[in-house]
Amino acid sequence: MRARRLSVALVCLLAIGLAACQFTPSDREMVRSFIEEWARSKNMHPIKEDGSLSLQGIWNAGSRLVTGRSGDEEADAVLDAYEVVSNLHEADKLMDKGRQERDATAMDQAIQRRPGDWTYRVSRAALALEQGDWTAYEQQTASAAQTVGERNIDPLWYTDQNIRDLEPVQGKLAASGWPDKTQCVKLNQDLAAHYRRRHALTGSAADLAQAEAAESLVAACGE
Amino acid sequence: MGEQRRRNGCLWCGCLSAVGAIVVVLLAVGGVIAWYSNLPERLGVRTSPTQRLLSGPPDRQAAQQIMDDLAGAGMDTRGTWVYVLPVEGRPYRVAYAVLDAAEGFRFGRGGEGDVVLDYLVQLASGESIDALDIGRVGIDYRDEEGNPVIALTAPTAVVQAYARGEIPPETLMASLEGKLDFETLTGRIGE
Repeated sequence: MRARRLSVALVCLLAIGLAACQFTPSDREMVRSFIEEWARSKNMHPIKEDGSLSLQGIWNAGSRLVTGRSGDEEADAVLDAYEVVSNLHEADKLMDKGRQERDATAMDQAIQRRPGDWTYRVSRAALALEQGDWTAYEQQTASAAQTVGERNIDPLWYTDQNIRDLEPVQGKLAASGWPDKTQCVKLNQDLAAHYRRRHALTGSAADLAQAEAAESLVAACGE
Repeated sequence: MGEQRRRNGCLWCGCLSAVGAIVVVLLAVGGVIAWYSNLPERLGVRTSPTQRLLSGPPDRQAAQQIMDDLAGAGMDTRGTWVYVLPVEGRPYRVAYAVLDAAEGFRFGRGGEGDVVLDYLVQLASGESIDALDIGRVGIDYRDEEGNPVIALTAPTAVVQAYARGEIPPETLMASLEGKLDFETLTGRIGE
């Protein structure tokens, strides 16, 4: 019994810290028992089942503790995925703020946190187009397209994202009577291209009609 | 007198050489350990496996499908956040669930088996998993204060094989990788 208590304490200590022994009482026992079983199956338990010390277990648990590595790069990546997910959560909050409040600074901060996230860049490009910031528009559009190409992203996903970001801008600018001809041309050209691409991917007749409507708006820009 | 001085000098040199050699060996061993640990990533010398492999945008629609699968299987999804992340250079993706007791997550208590394994099985056996190309599942369990407690991961195929009864629980356990969090450990001791 004493050996069992000692082994639980050591495993908690070596494997996950005393946190394992601090959450809800019902979950505590279940997780504790799981940790013991798991540590033995990985030969990382410092106490053998007969109560004697396991030098191999101590060495394995200790080296895992010191290196923080399992030897499997993909597994290590997933075990530390909270690093990405927590950053993602924060970046998403910034991007949501940027999308809702049309705040370029918030969007840029989100992109800074997750430079590889092309969806952010598509949204930032749409905002740049809305604000007439052509440098940012060209930069973000090119960067998003490059990432999508390099990472072999599903073209339908990319097209959907563009349409989702550009349609509200079209609505807003149309409501204000298309104050700028360049804006009108670029936006409707982009939208038409994306509708046509989606039509090619899905065969949707509605997309074809939308593409034609956007193209007729391009022709009417500045009139 | 001069001879005596020469002899002491040699002894001193020998001691210094021995100590120097030991220091060099220790530094070399320490350097190798440090290089293969996560220290260089913490110092920003190289990017972490997570940054290298999982920095692509998450598939939010796929994550919602997995959440729906869990709810459909009768799981309480309070305090559960699922992320589907592409793995750089691999043809599959990772389904990663954050299980946060601080936000109401509790392991189910219905089954006779291990609740942690049961949860992994539910995550890996959802209807959408194969269609969504989920090659690996992972969970990150956090306590009632939101502190990390345990993170586990395994290839989806292994968990599914266990669910179908093709491999014993011992094989699944041996395939699981878990996180040993030194910061959590030292943090808890300090409290």
